[in-house]
Amino acid sequence: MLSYCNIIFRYPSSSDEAAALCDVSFDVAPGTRVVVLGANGSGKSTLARLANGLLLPESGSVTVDGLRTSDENVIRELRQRVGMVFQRPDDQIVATTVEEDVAFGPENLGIQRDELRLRVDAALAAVHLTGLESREPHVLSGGQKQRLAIAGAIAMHPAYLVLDEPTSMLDPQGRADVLAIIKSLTGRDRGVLHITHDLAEVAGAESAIVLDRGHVVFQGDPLELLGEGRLLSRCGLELPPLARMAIELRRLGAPVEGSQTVATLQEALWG
Amino acid sequence: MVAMSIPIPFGQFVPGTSPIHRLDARVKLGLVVAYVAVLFSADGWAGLVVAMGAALLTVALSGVPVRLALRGLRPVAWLLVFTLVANSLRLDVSDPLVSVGRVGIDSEGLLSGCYFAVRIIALVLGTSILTLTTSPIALTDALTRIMAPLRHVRVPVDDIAMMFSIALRFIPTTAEEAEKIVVAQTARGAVFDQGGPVKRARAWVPVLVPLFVNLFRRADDLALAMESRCYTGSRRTRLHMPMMRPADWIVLATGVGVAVLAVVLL
Amino acid sequence: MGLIARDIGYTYSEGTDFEQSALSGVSFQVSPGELMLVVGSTGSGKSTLLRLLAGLLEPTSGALMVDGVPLSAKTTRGAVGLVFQDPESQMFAETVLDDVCFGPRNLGVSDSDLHVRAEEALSAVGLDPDEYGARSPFGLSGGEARRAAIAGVLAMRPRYLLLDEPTAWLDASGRSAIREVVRASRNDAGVVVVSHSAEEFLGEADGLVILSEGQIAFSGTARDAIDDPAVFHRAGLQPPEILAVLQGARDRGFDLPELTLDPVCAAQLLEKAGAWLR
Repeated sequence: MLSYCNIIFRYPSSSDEAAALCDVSFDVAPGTRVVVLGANGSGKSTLARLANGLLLPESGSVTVDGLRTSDENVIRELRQRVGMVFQRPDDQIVATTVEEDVAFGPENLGIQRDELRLRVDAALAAVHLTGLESREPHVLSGGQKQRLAIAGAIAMHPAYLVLDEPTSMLDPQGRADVLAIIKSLTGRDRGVLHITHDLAEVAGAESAIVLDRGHVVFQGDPLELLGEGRLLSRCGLELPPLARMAIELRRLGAPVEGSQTVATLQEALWG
Repeated sequence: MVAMSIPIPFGQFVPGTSPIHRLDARVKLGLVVAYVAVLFSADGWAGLVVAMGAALLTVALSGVPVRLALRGLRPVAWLLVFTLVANSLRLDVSDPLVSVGRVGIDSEGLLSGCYFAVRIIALVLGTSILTLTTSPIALTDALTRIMAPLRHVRVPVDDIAMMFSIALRFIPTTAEEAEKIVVAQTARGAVFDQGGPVKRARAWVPVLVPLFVNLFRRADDLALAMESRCYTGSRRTRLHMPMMRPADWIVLATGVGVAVLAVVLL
Repeated sequence: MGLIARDIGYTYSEGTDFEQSALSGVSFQVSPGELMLVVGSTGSGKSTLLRLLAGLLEPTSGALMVDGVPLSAKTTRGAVGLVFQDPESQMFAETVLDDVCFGPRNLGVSDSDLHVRAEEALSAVGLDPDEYGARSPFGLSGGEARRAAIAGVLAMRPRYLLLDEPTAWLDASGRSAIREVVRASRNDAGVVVVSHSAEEFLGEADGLVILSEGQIAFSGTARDAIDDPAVFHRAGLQPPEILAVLQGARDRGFDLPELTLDPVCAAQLLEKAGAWLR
C-alpha cells in the first residue's frame, strides 16, 4: 500500500501562509489506479513528489509498504518501489540512447549485466518501443519520449507507479498511446497514482480524488465524480463535452451509465 | 529570413561497421597518442612518411570518405599557410626562388616549410580519424575507463563521466530549443544580423535569457528524475561494458610496437 | 482584403539530396474578423505553413498576399503576428510590460506610444496592466504567462494573428481564458488557429482547413465539416467526440440532417431522432 496519512505540506519559500497540501489522506492499493485531479496550483504535483521522499511532509506521513519516506535508511529501497514519471518528456531522459536510458535506474541499483539486458528488453516491449534500442532520445516524438520514461521507471520493477501529468504535453496520438500503456500497466500487483487535470483520463480508474487549493474536496467513485458538475467547475476542472452529453442523455432518459468514450456511449445507446 | 538550423558543434561522427569503427575506443585513444609521439619525436621525413602512411591506411580501412577526413583541415588552413611561409623564409639566401629585399625563399627553406606543414596535416588527420569513427559517448566512456585509477585519489571520475554524458544528451535538445526561440523572436521583429558588434551581441539577449531559464528548469527537473531513479553516483553497473577483445590487444600492441620502433630507429 | 495563400508550397533543402517537400498546393484565405482553424496531425505541414504565413520562410512555389500586397519581410513587416506554441518560454524581460514592448519597439514604435500599446494589449488579454505590468514574467501562472506572451504579439497590432496550439498544456481555467482572448482578437484582426485537433475551436471557427501530409485534405466552412464529420476520417483524423457519436447514429440509420457540437443540443438531437429504445 502507498499511503498518505494526514499530510500537511508548506513550501518554505512560499510567501502566503496557506499550506500547499492540507490534511490529505488516501491510499493506493496494489492493482488499482487512483486518479488525482486538480487545476494548476491545486497541490497535485507536490503530492507526486511526496510519494518517494523528494519532498517530506511538515506533518503526517507517507509510507510505501510500511517504509516511511522520512527514514533515510530505507529511501533507496523505497525509491526502487515507487517509479516516477514526470510531466516534461525531455527533462527526465538521462542517457544518450534509448536502451541506456531504460537501464539507468537498474544500473543505479547495481543489477548485473545479464539481468539488465532482460529488464531493458521487457520494459521496452511493455511500452511498445522494441526496435528503437539504439536511437538517440531527441529523435523520438513526445509520446515516444514519455513511453521511454515509463519504461525507465518499470525497469526498476516498482510496486507503484506515480505519474505526474504524463500526457499534458503530448499531441492527441501521443496522449492516446501513453494512456493505453498506463492502463495496461495497472493491475497485476502494481498500483498507479495518476495525476492529471484532464477529466477524460479518469475513465476506467478505480478511484478519483479532487484537490482544490491543497484540500481534498472529492474522494470516491469516478463515475459519481462526473455527475458533480458544480464541484468540478468550482475546482477549475472542465467536464469533457462527451461527458456533458452523457449527463444530458441520462437526464433525457437514455440508458447511459456514466459512459465516457465514444465507443461505450454508442454501445449503451444502440449497441 | 533566418537560418533554420544551428550547426551542432561536433556532428563529426560517421557511424559505420568498419574494423576501425569496431576497435575499442581505448585502443584508438592509445594509438593516437603513439601516433602523435612519432610525429613529434621523428626528426626527419622518414618518421613523417611512416606516420602519414599509417594514417592513410587507417582512413582507407575505416571507409570514411577522404573528403570528410580532410575537412578537419579547414579551420587550420591559415595556420598551415603561416607555418609554410614562416619556416620557408630565410635571410640573405644565395640562390633564392623568390626574394623581396634581403628576405627570400630557397629550395632548402621550402622543403623545411613543407615538412612542418605536412606535420600539421598529419596531426589533424590522425585525430580526425578518431572522432570520425568513434561516437562521443564511446570516447567519454573510454576516457572514464582510462581515468578509473584516479578514483583511488578521490577524483570523482564517475560523476565527471555522467556530467559529460548528460551534456552530450542535451546538446541536440538545446540546439533545437535555441532555433525555436530565434524564430519566435524573429517573428516579434528581432533582427540578429544588422548593426555593429555591440548591437548584434545585444540582439541575442532575448534568445539567451529564455534559453538559460529553460536550461536551469531542465537541470532541476532532471535532478529530481535522477534522484527518483536512485542515482547516487557510485556503485553503478553498466548495460554496456565493452571488453577488450584479443583483436583489440593485438592491434594496440602492434601499433605501439611500430611507434616505438619508429621513434628509436628514425 | 485578406491574408491569401495561392497554391503555395515549400520544399526543404531544395535542389540537394536531402530535398523534402513539406507543403504543396496549399490555397486558402482569411479575412479580417474571421477565424480560420487549421488542423492536422504531427508532420502534416502545419508548422511550415505557419512559418510561411508569418513571412519567416519564403514559399518555394505560389504566392502569399496581405491585403493586396505580396508578403515579404520588408513591405509587410508587422502585418502578420505569430504566437508560437508555448510562447511563455520565450519571455525574457525583467517585467511583463517590458516584454510586451519588445515587439512594437522592434517595429520602430516611438517610446511614447509603446506603453500605450503595451497596456492596451495587456488589457485585451484580460491582464490588468497596473497589476501585472511590473511583475516578472517568470512568476506568472501558466495561463497568465500564456496571455502575457500573446499580448506581446498583439501589441505589434497585427492585421492577421496566427496562433499555434494556443491552449496546449493549460488547465481548464487557462484554456477558457485563452479561448476568450482568441474570440476578442477577431474584432481587430483575421485569426488563424493551428491545432492537432478540432475539438477546441471548431465551434467558433468560420473556416476549416485540414492538412494531411503537406496537402489540403479538406477546405470549407466549419458548418460543412460539422454536418459531415466523415471529412475528418477521410483525412486520417478523429472528429470531435460529439460529432463522432452523432455520426455513429447516422450510420445506424437514424435521421440527423444537421449536427451540432453543443453537448446538450446533441443529446436532444439524439432524443428527437429516437436513437434509443425507451
